Amino acid sequence: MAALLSATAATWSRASAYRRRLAMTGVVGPAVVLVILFFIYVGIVPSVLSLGQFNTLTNEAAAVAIAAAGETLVVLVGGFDLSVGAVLSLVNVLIATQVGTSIGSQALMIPLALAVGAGTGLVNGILVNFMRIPSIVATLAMSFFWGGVALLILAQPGGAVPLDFVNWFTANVGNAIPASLVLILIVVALWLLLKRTSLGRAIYAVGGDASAAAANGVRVRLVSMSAYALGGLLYGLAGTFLTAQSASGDPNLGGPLLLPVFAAVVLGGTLFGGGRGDLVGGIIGAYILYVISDVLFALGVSSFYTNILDGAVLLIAVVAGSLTGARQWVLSRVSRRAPAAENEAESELTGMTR
Amino acid sequence: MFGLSRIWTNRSYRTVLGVYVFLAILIIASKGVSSSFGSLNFTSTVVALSAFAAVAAFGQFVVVLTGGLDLSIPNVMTMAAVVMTGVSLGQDARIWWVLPFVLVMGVVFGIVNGLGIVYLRLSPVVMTLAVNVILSGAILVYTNGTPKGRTPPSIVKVIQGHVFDGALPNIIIMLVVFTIIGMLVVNRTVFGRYVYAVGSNRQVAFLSGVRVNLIIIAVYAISGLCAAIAGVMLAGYGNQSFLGLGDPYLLLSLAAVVVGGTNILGGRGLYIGVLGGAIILTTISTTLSGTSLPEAVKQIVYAVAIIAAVLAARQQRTG
Amino acid sequence: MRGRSLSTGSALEASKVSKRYGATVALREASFTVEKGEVHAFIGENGAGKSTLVKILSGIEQRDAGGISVAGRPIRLRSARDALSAGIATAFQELTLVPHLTVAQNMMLGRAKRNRFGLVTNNDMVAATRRLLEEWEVGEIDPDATVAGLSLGARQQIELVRVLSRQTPILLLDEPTAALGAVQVEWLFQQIRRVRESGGTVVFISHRMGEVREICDRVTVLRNGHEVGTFETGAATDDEVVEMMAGRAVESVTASSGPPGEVGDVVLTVKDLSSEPALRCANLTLHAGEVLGVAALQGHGQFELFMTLFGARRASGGSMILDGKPVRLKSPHDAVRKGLGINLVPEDRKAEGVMLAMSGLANVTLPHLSKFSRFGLLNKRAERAEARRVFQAVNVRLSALDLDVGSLSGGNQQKLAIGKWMLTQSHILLMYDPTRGVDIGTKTEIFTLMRELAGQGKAIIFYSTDIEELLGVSHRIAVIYRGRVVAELSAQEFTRNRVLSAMLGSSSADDGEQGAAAQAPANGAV
Repeated sequence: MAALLSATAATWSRASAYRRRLAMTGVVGPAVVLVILFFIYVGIVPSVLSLGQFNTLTNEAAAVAIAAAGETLVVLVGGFDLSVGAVLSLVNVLIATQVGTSIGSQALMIPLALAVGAGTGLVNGILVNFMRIPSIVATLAMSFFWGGVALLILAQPGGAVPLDFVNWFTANVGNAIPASLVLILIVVALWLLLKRTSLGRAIYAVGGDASAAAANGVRVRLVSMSAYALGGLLYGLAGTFLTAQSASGDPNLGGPLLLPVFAAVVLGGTLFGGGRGDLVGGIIGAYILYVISDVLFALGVSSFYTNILDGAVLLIAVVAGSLTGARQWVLSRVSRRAPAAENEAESELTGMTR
Repeated sequence: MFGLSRIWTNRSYRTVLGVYVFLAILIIASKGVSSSFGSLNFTSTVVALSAFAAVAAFGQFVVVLTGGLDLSIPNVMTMAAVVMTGVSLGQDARIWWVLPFVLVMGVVFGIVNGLGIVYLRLSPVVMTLAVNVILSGAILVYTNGTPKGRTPPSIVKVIQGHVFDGALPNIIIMLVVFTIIGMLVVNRTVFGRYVYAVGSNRQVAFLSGVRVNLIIIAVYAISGLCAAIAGVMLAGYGNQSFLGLGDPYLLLSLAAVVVGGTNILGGRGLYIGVLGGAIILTTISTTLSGTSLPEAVKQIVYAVAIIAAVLAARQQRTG
Repeated sequence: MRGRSLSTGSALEASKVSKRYGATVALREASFTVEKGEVHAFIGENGAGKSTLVKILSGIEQRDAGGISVAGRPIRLRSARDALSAGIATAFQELTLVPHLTVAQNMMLGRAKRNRFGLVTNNDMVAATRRLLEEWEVGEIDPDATVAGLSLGARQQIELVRVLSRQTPILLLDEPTAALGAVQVEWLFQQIRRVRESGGTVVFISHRMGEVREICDRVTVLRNGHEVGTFETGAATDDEVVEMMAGRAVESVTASSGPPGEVGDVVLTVKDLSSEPALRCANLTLHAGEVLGVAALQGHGQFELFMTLFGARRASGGSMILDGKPVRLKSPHDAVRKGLGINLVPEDRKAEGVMLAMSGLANVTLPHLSKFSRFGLLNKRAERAEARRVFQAVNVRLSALDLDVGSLSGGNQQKLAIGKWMLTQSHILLMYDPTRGVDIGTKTEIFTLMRELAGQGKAIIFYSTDIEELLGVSHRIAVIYRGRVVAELSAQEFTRNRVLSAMLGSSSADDGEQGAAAQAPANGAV
């Protein structure tokens, strides 16, 4: 009997430990919101559960979701990446101009896109960590740079992407599940793996308190650069998906996506300043945005109002978040020392230092 | 007595000097692209064109000085423009109240930003981003997708006009006046000093009796006002308003601030430098358009200019 | 008695190590030897160079000159990793824990064991952490708890265990007992003895002679960035040690500025002031021309008191009567307008004392810009004239008027931070630990300034962690214990022992966070 009790107690404390860790990621809130929204949507448009319509749903947000995942990585180490839009455009025009008709050449586009994306991330990482340029400025500059390169590659919308490529990403796998969903699940699985490596742990540590991490022997600059590079890799993936969606090239395709990506990151519970948040949150945040607009559309509300609602939801989400976890987090950053050093610190502003 | 030596010792002044030296080099170099460039006429065109970015960048500048960021500038600009044209419908009749109304509207949006940042404790990125998104929806709702009307003729005349028989564009005069007022406010008023203090060290400013919250709200209000002014100016320049009018100015205003030698983390920088930064960007753009190089190169050069400016400003730190 | 392991030979040797920060010389050709297997203390006042030494030995900062060798081998310490691989593990005073990660995640940072897939699971980390915590006898800490939610003492213990468990040849402990209660201090000493018995070397940075005497084998005294003496513990008396630390008898520092002057009418009455949770019930009165000293152990509400008096923190109860009229201060802005000033120097001066990126002139005139302005426009000439007067009054060279304050020495920064309030009608000055980290010369100047200000009729509330200073300068001393003013001693009444015992809660046997062993300062060394 005693053994049973202690076993139960052990499992219970393990479970509550899991619950606590889950809560720490800040993902629970957004997930709940998404589920509720989805139910509302299904209530209005039951056919969304059909594979065809569900596919449309997962497809429309996938690019922003994956890009938001990449942006989250950068934000986790305390950065702020303004170049995401430009990189999306770059990858898009590259694929649109370089892709051939053979299956092989189409397949080649994927590693190409990933490499290009990772490369842009690496450049950002070097600018921020080795040339010590604040990340807003560095990524601002690179957004101009890659945008210009994209224009050089393809000055006007054009190019064509073969059907195979399009279908790989936008169709369904085995008639059961949308390819976009599979892609996202793969990203999530890889992320969960990464979180359990020392690099993943180090990313959170560096974003949480870089000097503490350094004092523990963490190679802060390398970890930060890796985060930027991995973020870029995800941008590459997102750009690939975007290209499959639009089936053509457009040097200005990515620009307008900058703000939605940020909105998705914020909605997903990741805090600017670093160390707190989760990739999954960014993905969920993106879907929240799109489901909202779908719901409004289904209700017959003019799409003009979508933006207003998006902005309002953003504010509510952040305020709600700030009333609980975020405030504790900010206070904990401030009061690292004896109580004597504590005071009514105003919350950080941009909080961006790398 | 004026302390010319102080220009050399003060790091901010040195940075500004560097900005203008670089600008001068750019203008002279532009002669290599076309013989009609690099002239006084060229300079005057460039300065006139930079007015919009310069005005918007002033708002971004004071916000950045306090350590913040204003991502709502694009849609405040667009909103100001579409309301201006939509209400006045190309007539002068209503101008006397529409113009002030539009400017006050900009201030109100700025105050909303400030309130959210101070009292809801939201990060400036989040708050101004949200406001920008909400405004984009509001613009769509108000215009029903297509902005109506045209800019009132008197505004067009003022913005597009010249004095001295076409020698000096009005807009340059406006820019000069704006710059003088702006610099006075930032450098020579108590308020301006408080802005620098808040950006330099918020806690010390707070404990010195500075009303930090008020200052923060005020700088966002100023940014909203400047965005509204810039929006009206653009509407005057183009005779009409259109969706996305303000979009390029998010990155442009930030770029002008950075190239002008302002520290993105706050507390350091001079508006005269930001003005120089805006003119540099416009010069690059205008010079390149005179070449056969594609538009894209301009962006690449912008990127290099931004990085170079940050690195150069850092070199100034002699200890 | 303390045993020492038989193996000798130096574990750590420094030769003429120097380091400067801008204009400030932090270490000046410091040389010392730490033998293998000993517990070696470095003591010194604030500003003596202890923290710089720690930063250099731990690889966080690089020395400018001089050589360091470990076990006879010269080493370059370019980063924290270098230090770790050279065999030096450091427990920092400023805890290097990432606040929102769990205890286990922090412990395992950089050294988690991987399972067969090369991954690190949470359960593994928690189990490994639990083993470590138990091994080092702090099994009561929950590995899954978030660090931010733990008490400061527990956090310091975690930091210590993390370092102890690395089992490097050399352990560098920077003020390891700062946040520990008596029981925890005993725990630490026990662990240190274990380390010594197994042949490890411990470098122990402290300013508490009592602890040093209990656990350390030898002591090196630092003063002004240089070593001034090394001796076996017990070979020198406390007085001799203090003299080495201060360079002269401590009493002379405060005495040289003259005796306290005359005291006038009541300017401030504080009744039952509280600001939950740290400040419970403060009662005091302040007179014109008076220096009211405040004594308290760390974290007993004195900081909250100052903040509340200045309007920077909301009062949850009680009242303040200023110049006969009840006031409710809603913000520091209010306070400044009503004639209060505050001089606050927290542990990290750069965070709150002055604005480093602004000029001396701008720093000094900030609270009172309205004096030089009309319709909001600044009269720069008048401003400069006033600023010059302040600079002269606090004895900072005029060329610093236009220099960034960040380039000035710590002492000058502090003098300017005080001078900031001299321009005005601020007739009550709240000075919170103004002499921390400041060299002896500037300290004397500051005390002279305080005397002058009091002589002009201003009232000063003065908090210091150094009891000798309080005794030397104050007219009266208020002692705070656990958020309450428990004693108000007049000049005739206060002796070091009376103040100390009041600080310790006099008759309380239960000490909770702050224990007698942890806080018994010897002559002036706090």
